[in-house]
Amino acid sequence: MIIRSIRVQSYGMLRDRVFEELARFVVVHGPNEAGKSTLRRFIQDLLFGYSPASLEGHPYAPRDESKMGGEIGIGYASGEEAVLRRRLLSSAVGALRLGERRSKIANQPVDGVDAITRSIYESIYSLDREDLEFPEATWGEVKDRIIGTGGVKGLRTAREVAEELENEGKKLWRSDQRGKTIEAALRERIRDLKGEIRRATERDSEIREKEEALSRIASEKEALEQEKTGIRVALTRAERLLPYRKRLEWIAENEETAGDLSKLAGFPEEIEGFFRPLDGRIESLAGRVEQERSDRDRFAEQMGRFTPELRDVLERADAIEESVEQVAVLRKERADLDDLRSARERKEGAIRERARALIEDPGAAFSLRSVPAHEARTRIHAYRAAREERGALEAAREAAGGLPPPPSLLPVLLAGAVGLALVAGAVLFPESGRRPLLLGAGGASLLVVLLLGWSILSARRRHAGASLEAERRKDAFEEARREEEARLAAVRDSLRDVGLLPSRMAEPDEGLAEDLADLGRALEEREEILRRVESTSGRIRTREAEVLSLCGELSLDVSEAGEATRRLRRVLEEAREAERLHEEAAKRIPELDARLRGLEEEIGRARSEKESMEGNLLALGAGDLAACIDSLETRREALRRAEDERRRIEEEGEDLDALAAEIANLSSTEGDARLSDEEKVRLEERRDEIELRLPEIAAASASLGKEIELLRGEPGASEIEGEKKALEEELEAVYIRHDRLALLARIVREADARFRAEHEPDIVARAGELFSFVSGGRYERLGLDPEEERIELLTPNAVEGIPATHPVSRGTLDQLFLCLRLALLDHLEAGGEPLPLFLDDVLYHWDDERRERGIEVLRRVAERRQVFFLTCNGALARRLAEAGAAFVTLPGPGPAEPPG
Amino acid sequence: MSAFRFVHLSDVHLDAPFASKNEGVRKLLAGSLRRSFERVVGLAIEERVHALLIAGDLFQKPDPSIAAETFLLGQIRRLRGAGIPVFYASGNHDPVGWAKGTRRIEWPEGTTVFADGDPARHEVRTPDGDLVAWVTGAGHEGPAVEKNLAARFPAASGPLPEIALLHASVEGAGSLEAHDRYAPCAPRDLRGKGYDYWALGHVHKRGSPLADPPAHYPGSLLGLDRTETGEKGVLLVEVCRGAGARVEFRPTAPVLWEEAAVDAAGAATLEALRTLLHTRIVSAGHGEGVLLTIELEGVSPLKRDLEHGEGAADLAGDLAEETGLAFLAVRTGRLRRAVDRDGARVGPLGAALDLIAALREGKEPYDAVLPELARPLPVDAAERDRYLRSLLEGAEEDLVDRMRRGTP
Repeated sequence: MIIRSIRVQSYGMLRDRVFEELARFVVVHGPNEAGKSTLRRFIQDLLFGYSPASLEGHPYAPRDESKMGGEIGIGYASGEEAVLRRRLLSSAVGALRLGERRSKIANQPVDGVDAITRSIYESIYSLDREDLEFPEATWGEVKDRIIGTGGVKGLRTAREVAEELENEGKKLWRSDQRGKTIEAALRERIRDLKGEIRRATERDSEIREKEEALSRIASEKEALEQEKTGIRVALTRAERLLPYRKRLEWIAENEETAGDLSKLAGFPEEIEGFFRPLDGRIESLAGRVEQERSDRDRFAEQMGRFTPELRDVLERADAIEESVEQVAVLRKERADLDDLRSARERKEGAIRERARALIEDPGAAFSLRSVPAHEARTRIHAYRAAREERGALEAAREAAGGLPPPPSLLPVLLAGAVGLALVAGAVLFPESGRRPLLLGAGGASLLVVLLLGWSILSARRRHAGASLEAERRKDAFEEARREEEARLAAVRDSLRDVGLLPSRMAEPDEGLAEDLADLGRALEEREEILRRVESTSGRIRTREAEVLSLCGELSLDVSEAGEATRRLRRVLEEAREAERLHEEAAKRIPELDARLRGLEEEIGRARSEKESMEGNLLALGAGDLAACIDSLETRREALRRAEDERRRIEEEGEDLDALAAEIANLSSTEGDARLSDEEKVRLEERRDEIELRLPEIAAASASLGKEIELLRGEPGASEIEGEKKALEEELEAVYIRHDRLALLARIVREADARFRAEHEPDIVARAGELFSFVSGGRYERLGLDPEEERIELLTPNAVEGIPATHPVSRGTLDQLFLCLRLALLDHLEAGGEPLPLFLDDVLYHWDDERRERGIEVLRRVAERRQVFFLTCNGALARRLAEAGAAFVTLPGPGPAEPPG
Repeated sequence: MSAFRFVHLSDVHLDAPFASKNEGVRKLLAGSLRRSFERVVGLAIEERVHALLIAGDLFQKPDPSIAAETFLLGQIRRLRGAGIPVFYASGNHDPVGWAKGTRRIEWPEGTTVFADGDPARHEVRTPDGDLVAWVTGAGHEGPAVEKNLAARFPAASGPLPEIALLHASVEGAGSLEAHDRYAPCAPRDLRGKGYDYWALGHVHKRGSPLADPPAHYPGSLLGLDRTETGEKGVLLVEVCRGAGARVEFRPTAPVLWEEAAVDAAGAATLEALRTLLHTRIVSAGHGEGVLLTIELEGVSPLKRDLEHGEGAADLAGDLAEETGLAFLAVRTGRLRRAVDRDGARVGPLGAALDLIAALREGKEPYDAVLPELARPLPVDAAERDRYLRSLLEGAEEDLVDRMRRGTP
């Protein structure tokens, strides 16, 4: 591939620059900052696409409005020609015209360069001064720089990477166990942890043992404290109880002298005076008994007065009281009866008075069962209505009077005849000069006839109507009169049995109806009075009979109701008083009986007490009663002494019962509260032993507790196990990481060896061929010494090679190194498209010999691939131009050394 | 018909070693395990259950520490004080009577220990002496019981609720693969025996391998490591004879493990990553009482920084302090380096990448590149290849990164 032309539209500092007819060997000359590197980057962007493919990120994006882009003309080894155009706008666009074919390639690499990546191209095909500097290193390193990295700049060599992997792996684990590897550290820590786990397990057992020991110590301590308490109690009791025992014995002796005085406890201090009040008390009680008995007899007599007859009266008390109450009612009813009889007489007088105005025989009024007053009133009302109607009709007829005769038609007929005559005259005498008068008169007469005739006819029609009305009134009057008569007959019929006076029957009116009603009511009221008189009389008789009957039942000889009532009330009162007294007696008698019994018992007890005391005294056996009294006083003195001693002991704060119990207990358990000296010493020694032992035990217990606490504070086996487990997991990861690093190292070394075996001979052969050319045949080829890891320069017919190192001149070595680098390009392309090579400011600092040899190499290389030589050195540029390089000048801001 | 109410727990693992280099975390977890057990006892007392059933692995090992023993007996005495009996069937971790195991523990009155492989049947009575249920249990007699203990359970036919208590691996149980298969059995071994409920233990993840009859694993009482995530606790069960069981999970663990995968590709700097993780932690509601493991994923330029020295650990420590988490681990195993493979296709590096691909695909034998390894390779060829292949995970990125390190 050869770049034939370059057109820069805008790229960094380059604007509208055109370079045409570029040769295979091009020297681009210009001062620093003229754009040489920019031009190289432009060509690489055109070949591989913009990187980065955005205006924002691209370092050569224009800062003005110009469009970034450009084109290059390409000639392929196959002879094809192409024009490649790219622009970087909002996105990267690209177009390739290959012959007649046009295609869009966006930002993809152009055909011919796509076999390698841009980074490789930039590394291998773009060399600067450092790239061509023969390294101050062994040939192994030289080869590594060229072959071990594939010639890619910036890559570390396979050997370096392998060593790094191996070193990292060795930091993790080493088979020779040398050094402090991570694995060794982990294993050591795990080993330590195992020891810690073992110790933790032992600690656990130790804790258990110590816990058990602590438990045993606690048991021993408890037992010793109990024993010590027992000893202390025994000694204390023995020392404390001895005096008390003596005093208690003294108390017991006195109590024994006193004996059992409980039966004589009631005796006062002055015994002889004891019996006098007792006798007085017995006498008093006997008096009270007599009084109570008298009262009882009196109440018994009261009870006897309540006889069966009185009981019978009380049983009938309700009936008696009712009879007494009935007598009061009876008295009132008798008064009512008298009133009723007076009312009857007054009522009968009133009836007779009313009857005289109505009935022919007033005495017969009392025989009337009833007076049809209501019916009579109804019929009288009907009769009075018929009578009034008939009167009204009659008055109407009289007011209407007789009818006049109807009006006559004669005047009409006369006027008509006159009119006709006048008209006829006019007709008959047409020639008469009076004809209009005749006609007028005749006409007026006819008109009068007409008016008069209409008036008379109307009057006659009214007359006929009035005649018909008079006829109807007459009929109605007749009807009313008949109705009046019928109603009167009905009234009379209804009162036929009453026997009314005829005068009251002539024209019955409202007054008759009222009188009849009054009579009827008076008769009814009389009847009611008669019924009440009868009823009251009957009740009075019944009640009087009942009262008398009750008196008879109670055997009371009375014949009159009033007397009977009085007798009944008196008897009832007597019976009730007797009953009250009976009840009082019945209540008091049991009380009196009880009190009598109590008094008698009390008398009995007093007498028994007296007899008992006397017996108790005599039972002392001292002889007669007086002697016995002396004996009692002696024994009482002994008892007082005992009690005084008891009181004193109690005042000392001691419980006598507890003391006695303690002494009794001590006596029963120890044989005797009074310990022997030996026993006391033995107990005291034992107590001292215990007191010495107890602090030891407490100290041991505290020590054990502290030890246990400390042991428990130590991490447990499981916790350590957790750390160990984590470290074992880490150790496992370390092994894996080591194995991985070791495997990768081996892989890298193996790959490196294979790569070298495959590529190194060809590269060295190609470099040898190039070197032979540029050395003018002085050296025929290059050789490899794998053992020494060096390259040898072989001259024609040489038996042994010359090691490519000092004292071979530096120029020769630089030349050799350049050949090796360029041979790598040929090797990598291996039949592919030879791509342009960029050399940036190389050679100029070499001495003349080295520079000339380098130029020779480049000239030879340019025969196969295009070479762009970028330099600001004018002399070097001139020399290159002389060697056949085409010249491209980039004027820049700084002065460039003129090419001459 | 009266209901039998009980608390079912298992896999307490008292004395469990909590694998962590962080002493604070180890102490937190050990304390939390005891706190969780105390809560179980409190729950049993509060709910006035008839019994507490422990389906094995009460201890991490047959010979518990005196601290664990003292603690446990104290808790059982609390239950005893409330009139709640304890039924405990040993598991593979705590085979009662094996070696110098738990036989020497002086169990308080009211504790029934099923130590033999042959099932035994015990009555459950209330404090008033009323018989409310029967519990049939069998224990592990050694640390690796391979017998089918469930098959030995007799048929139960009484009128009262019948409960089976066993530490076993029931085929089909979720996450069974994470556990050794001790006392293996199949669901058919549990069916048709007349038990109203199978109180199981061994699987640390809560689950039910069988619905009829109901068989439940309550799971471990506390997440023993970062893989045992989520809430942990016990089952509160109510059983009526022949009428199924009402099972209710009650969390008791005061701390729990959680996991979260975070794509770190969007974070270009450690500060950006810290902000991203902080946001994720807070938005997930994690805080005090959570031990969180964040697995970073995706391609990130920060892998080298995180894996260098204590980079990830420092980040985790800072975030835990900021968010109040009980513990935070940031893992970078799945994080991939952001490497520019340009330039990696030439030279020895390209050859190395080709060789890795060939090894991985089996086109090249490992023998040619086998280095001296820290430990002998597994004898089994498949296992050996699996191990070596695992070493090559992320090898390409690592190599390219190393080769280009220092490249501007």
